[in-house]
Amino acid sequence: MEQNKDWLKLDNAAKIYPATSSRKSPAQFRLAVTLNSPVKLKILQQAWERMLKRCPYFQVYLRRGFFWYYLQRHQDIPPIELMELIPTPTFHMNHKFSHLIRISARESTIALDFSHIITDGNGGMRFLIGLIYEYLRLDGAHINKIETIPYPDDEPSADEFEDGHRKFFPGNLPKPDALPKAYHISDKPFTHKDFKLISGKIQLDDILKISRQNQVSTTEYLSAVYMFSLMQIYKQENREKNPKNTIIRLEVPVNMRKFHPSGTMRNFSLYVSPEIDLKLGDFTFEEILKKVHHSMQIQIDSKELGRQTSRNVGGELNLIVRIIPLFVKDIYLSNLYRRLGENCYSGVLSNLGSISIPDAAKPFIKSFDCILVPNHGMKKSCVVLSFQNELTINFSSVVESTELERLFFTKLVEDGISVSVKEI
Amino acid sequence: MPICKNCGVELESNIARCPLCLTPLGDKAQKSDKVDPIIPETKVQKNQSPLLLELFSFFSAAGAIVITAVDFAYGANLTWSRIPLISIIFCWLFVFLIHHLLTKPYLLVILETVNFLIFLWFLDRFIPEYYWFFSLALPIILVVCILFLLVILWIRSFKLSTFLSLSVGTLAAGIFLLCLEVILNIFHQKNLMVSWSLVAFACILPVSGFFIYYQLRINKKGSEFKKYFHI
Repeated sequence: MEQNKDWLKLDNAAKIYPATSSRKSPAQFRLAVTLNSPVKLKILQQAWERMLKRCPYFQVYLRRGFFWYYLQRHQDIPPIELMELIPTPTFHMNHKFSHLIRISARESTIALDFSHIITDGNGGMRFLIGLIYEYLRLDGAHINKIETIPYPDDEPSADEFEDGHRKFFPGNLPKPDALPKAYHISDKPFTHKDFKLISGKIQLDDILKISRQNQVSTTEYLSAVYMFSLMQIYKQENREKNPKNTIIRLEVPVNMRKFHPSGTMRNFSLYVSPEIDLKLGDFTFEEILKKVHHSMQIQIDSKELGRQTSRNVGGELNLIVRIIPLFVKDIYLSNLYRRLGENCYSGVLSNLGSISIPDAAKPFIKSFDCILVPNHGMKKSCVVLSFQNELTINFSSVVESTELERLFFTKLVEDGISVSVKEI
Repeated sequence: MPICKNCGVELESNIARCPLCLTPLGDKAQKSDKVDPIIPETKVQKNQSPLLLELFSFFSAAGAIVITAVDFAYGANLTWSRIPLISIIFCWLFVFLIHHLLTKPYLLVILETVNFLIFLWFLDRFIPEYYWFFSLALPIILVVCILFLLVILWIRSFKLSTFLSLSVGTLAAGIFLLCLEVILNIFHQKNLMVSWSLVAFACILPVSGFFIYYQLRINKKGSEFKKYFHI
């Protein structure tokens, strides 16, 4: 039983992160909630301690084994820190006993920083909602429970610990097609700070209306706007004269819990990859939207995604891969990450969807936020979430230029959507 | 809330300029500075497995044709070129079978064995005066093939863990050494006595036993050993 052990194997998706994580490629994200009143630190401390004990798979630190990394149960609870508006990248994984989760607070906001080694956006958000529930309950509010959220008065179940990819491994299937290198914005990453953030807020009704008009989903519409903006930057850079890496391809995470009945709190996401090839000429926005819609409709399919699972888990189960010592695997995995990850994508757009919280908790909460720490390969990343009637689009960037964000939000404005923007 | 004249987006009331286009609030549009593009090096990656096989086939065929033509040019008959020709055919079949039958290990092992035996039989025929195929090569290759198939069958049937598989593999290697010495002795001296292979087998046994011990250790709940060496 995983619950009774003091250590955990890394899940299949997390296996690659320890070998590749660095300040330039942090594999880290922040989930934050802003309350309608200032945070009560003492109550937050109690809620935090109870939640972390409830979710032991997050109270861990990374250790090196001979063949694989593993997660060792931590004896300490990470202290609550003063929240920085821009989260510091990397959980210093080379430091012994360094936690892979961090909590911070400022004024009315509570922020949780997660390393992707322990969970994905869905697992992190369920943990945050559980924390809010406990915080409000300890503060005297009567909050109803909703499904799939870990509550401190419940025992952790076995499926929260499971590796969903391994559990739903479909066997040997044809591998996904190899992806050629994609276009990357040519700007150089800055060195004087970690990254900057531009946040846009729009009315959910507006984006739903325009998506329905085009008969596409919100994710498809926003992905098309992102790719359309990237195409314009490509043209501004005069790449046509020296056409290299002409493919604009987005990495769009898909929550695999929608396809398989898993309650795991750990990583269980895969990716779809809508793309356009600028060798074929310029695309209008409508053409891009059509391509994105059809390619995502085809790719978001349990059988198609099963090919990715088959490749990833099949690689992990390969006898030769397993018996190779970790220091050799580190070299292989970081190379694999470059070939299958950073090099193949021009950007990432992660849509966490609509945040569901207990009805009784809604009057206490102003907004939710998410930041995906960008890497120096793709340079920018975009994360989207909605709460009540507000949709938040956060661009994090390691380059000074905000041209992509300008083009993106200007396109939304052109389409009749009112956008409120701020820089952090 | 103020609205940027350039981007059309709504901004926080307490900021001095648009964070997107850097336009000061109230002023006309002013585009942000552009950074000179730096075009990275490109290497387009493709799925190269079928292409590699095609290239290998092309060069094998070209080599075979050239060798045959040169040999014919000197005597209207195949002489010295027979050995490189059969070697090329063997290599090509070896790669071809791996490429097509990697997911069918039993069939792959059997067909590769047949391929290797045919290759050795031809070599035996082409090199006169010293016949070794039926008395030496055939039994050795058959022993290797049978042991290999048994190991795969055993591992798959009992779903052995990695270390138990390694234990079975090393044990099979020890048995092969015993068989090898018997075959060599029959070939050279016509007797069944074994000597050095017994010593080698005795050395291999503790290695095989170590893998079993190792598996038992990592099966112990909560063992530090299991954490560090989990595979």
